[in-house]
Amino acid sequence: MEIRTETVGKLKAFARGEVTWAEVEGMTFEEAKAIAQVGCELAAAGRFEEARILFEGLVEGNPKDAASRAALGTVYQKLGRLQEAISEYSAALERDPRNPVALVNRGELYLRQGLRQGFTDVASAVEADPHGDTSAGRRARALVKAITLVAVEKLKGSPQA
Amino acid sequence: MLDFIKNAVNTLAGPMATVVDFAGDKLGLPPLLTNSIKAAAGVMTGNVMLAASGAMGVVSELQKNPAAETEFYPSRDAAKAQEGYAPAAQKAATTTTGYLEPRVLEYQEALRTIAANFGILDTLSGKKDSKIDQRTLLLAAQNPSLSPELRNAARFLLEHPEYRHMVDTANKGGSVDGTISQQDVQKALKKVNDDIANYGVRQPSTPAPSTPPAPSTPPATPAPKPGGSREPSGSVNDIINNPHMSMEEKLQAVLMLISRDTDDEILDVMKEMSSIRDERAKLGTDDTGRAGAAKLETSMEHLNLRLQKLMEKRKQMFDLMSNISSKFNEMAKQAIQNLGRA
Repeated sequence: MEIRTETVGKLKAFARGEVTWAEVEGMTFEEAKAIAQVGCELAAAGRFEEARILFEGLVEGNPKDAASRAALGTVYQKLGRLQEAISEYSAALERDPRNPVALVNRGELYLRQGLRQGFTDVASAVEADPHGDTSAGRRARALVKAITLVAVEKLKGSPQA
Repeated sequence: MLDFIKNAVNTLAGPMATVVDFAGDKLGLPPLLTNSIKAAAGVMTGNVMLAASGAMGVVSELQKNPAAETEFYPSRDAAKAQEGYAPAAQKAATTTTGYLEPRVLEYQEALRTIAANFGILDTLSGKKDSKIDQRTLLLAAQNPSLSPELRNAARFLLEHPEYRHMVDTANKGGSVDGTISQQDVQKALKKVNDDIANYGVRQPSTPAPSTPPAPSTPPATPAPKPGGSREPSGSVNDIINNPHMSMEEKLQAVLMLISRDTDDEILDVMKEMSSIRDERAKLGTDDTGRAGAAKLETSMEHLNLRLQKLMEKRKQMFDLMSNISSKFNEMAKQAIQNLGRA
């Protein structure tokens, strides 16, 4: 009976938006991390649909988890669902503005759309991960180098540099 | 590969120098170099830049770190990273309440130690027959050259005959014969691991629950198995009849049980292979020896085949578990979405 009362209390709190579903279920960060790890491995193996299901589950469970949202964004991006990817990256950055995964991937998508905001995102990704601890951080550095190359080529061709 | 960057650079309204400023800063280039790129933009400076990084180098670096690589990168701020999740301590508290006696943990530890050192115990009484008995345990408990853990494990089994008898009959059942084989230890260890996973261990201060899963002695015995055969089917029944488990947990637990059985079979096959290898090493080079070696070779091939099949079965089991888990996630998600829409 006591357990039921506790569960009802949690469900009510969830309905009021005070707690996440992960909290109702008693899911810890460590457990979420383990699930996310499986999702990353599935994505690395090219099983994006399965990875999507896992990360969508994590995000439904805890929409406040910026890392899961950024990871879900990468899966959407791989699946060609670019608008949804940008939405997830943006949601991740609302919670954690220094998430390099969300920054560099949103930046790259913006650059592909010809949006200047992309430069800012890529630059912020380099700042967020200056030592290239993440693949996203290393890609950000490579992108900045590429931008430099392009800029230099342009300058060479420009008469009034 | 760099086309989209070229296009993006074209969209910049300001002079190209702003791009160089931006890029120079982000690369950590000294301002002098950045300025010289801007000022000269000539062959010389261009060459320096190209030599430093190089278009090919950049392309290879981009290839090494592809776009949208899925990574889980939680915030460095632990409080922020764990926001929205249940605190770890709360979870731990709910999982430490169980039915089994706390002593079962000592029994589990003793079995682990004995399983890992069975070879040493086997030779203690002077002959190597892949079996240990009470005398071996006595010798081990008093042997100062053995590790304290092994001595304690032997002592535990000596002091608790109820546990010793459980190990004695773990593999083939029947009555207590006073000898413990390696298979007995492995089976007993598997069983106690399963019991702990299924029923949990009571806190030392917690009183015994009113409806224990194992009313019979010895303490680590799980719930009674009505009409069932020995271990595996009984455990499956226990899982299915457990009112505290959800359908998903039951499915996962049954699959885990089956996969554990497969793991045990794999271990058994490997042990058999190892003993065949030992036997083959002992054979002579005469005709009898060669005939024996041929027979062993055939057995080895059969075992190889069996091992291959078991590995395949194990893989299928894990794939199935992964698929089931994904399906449940999808169903849960759908349910939550429907709730949100309602």
